[in-house]
Amino acid sequence: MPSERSTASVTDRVALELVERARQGDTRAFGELVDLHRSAVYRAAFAALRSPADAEDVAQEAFVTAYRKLDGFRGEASFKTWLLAIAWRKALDRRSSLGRRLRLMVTASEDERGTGPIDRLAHSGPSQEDALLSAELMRNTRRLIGTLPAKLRDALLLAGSGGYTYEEAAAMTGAPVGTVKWRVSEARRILKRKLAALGYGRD
Amino acid sequence: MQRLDRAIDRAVHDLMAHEAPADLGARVVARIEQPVPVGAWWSPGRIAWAGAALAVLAIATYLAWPSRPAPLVEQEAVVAEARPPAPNEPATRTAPTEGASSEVGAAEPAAPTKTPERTAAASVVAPEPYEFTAPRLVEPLEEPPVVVIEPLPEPQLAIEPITIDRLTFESVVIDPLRTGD
Repeated sequence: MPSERSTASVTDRVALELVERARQGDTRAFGELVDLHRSAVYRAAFAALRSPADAEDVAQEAFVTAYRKLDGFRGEASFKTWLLAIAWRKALDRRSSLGRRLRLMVTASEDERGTGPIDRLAHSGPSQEDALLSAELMRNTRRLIGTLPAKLRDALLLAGSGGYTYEEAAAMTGAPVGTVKWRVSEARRILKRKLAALGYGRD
Repeated sequence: MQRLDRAIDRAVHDLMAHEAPADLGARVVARIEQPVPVGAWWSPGRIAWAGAALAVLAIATYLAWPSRPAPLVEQEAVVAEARPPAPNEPATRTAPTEGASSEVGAAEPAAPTKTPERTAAASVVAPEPYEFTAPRLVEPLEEPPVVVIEPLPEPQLAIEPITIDRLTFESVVIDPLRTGD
């Protein structure tokens, strides 16, 4: 942990120097900032949108916006957190504009009850059981994550992926850290209940 | 349940296992180095917005206007009423009424006399319908003119004194009854 923290502080220091240069019109410095944070920004957008193309558009927009609003960054939070907050807002805007299309994409077309492992195992040999169970479980888990309420799903994907700290996820979503933790826990509880209902709880 | 926890962790990682394009930084730099496009003032979008704003303003002005225009016929009638009578014209434009008053009104075509009663009556402001509609139509930007209505001529009623004549009776002579012979 101390090494992670010191790495983070070094990154923050580097980022602040780049921000200062970018403020003075050095676009290359800003390019370095983009390279430093592009994964975090892109994944945040992807967590909200679940579409690579949309996530790429939003990430690009977020960086351009951040450059134009660079004077508004006062260093109260880390540059990464400030940047992620911009990216998250843009991703949510895009998500609300996509609206119905996204909901259709998230909602699985296959019947939830008919694709459980019990149904499949009835038609498979004993040697395939483990592999089939694992593949089915992963597929159903991913599908069920898509059916979670948006706030729970966002918290689970951001904080549960390990890519962001709870503090970063809280700053992005505008919710207190405790709320983000509760959302992650609640998302997990719902997922486990639904998976158990599909027959996966019988270990 | 631990198995389900592991499955959830793995599914979350799978869902988030996407890498940003490597050239994202170069594309962002290319975009921020471009000058910000400034649209011409006459662009179709701006014209459409300006048109819509003007339309809304016009509708709002129309709806907020205190009174609606009166029909044209009414307006002309009121103007005619407000005009002073010509010397050869009868003093009043009202139709003659029946009875004794009609004789007086129709028979006197002269200019209006300036008796105290007439002067007081002439200062009376026009009745409501004319007061609110006609002046705005004729001169909408000026103070509405005072519409004066010529008073009706005083009916000159004369009641003749009643004279009761003494009843005169012819003398009636009643012949004495006669008995039959």
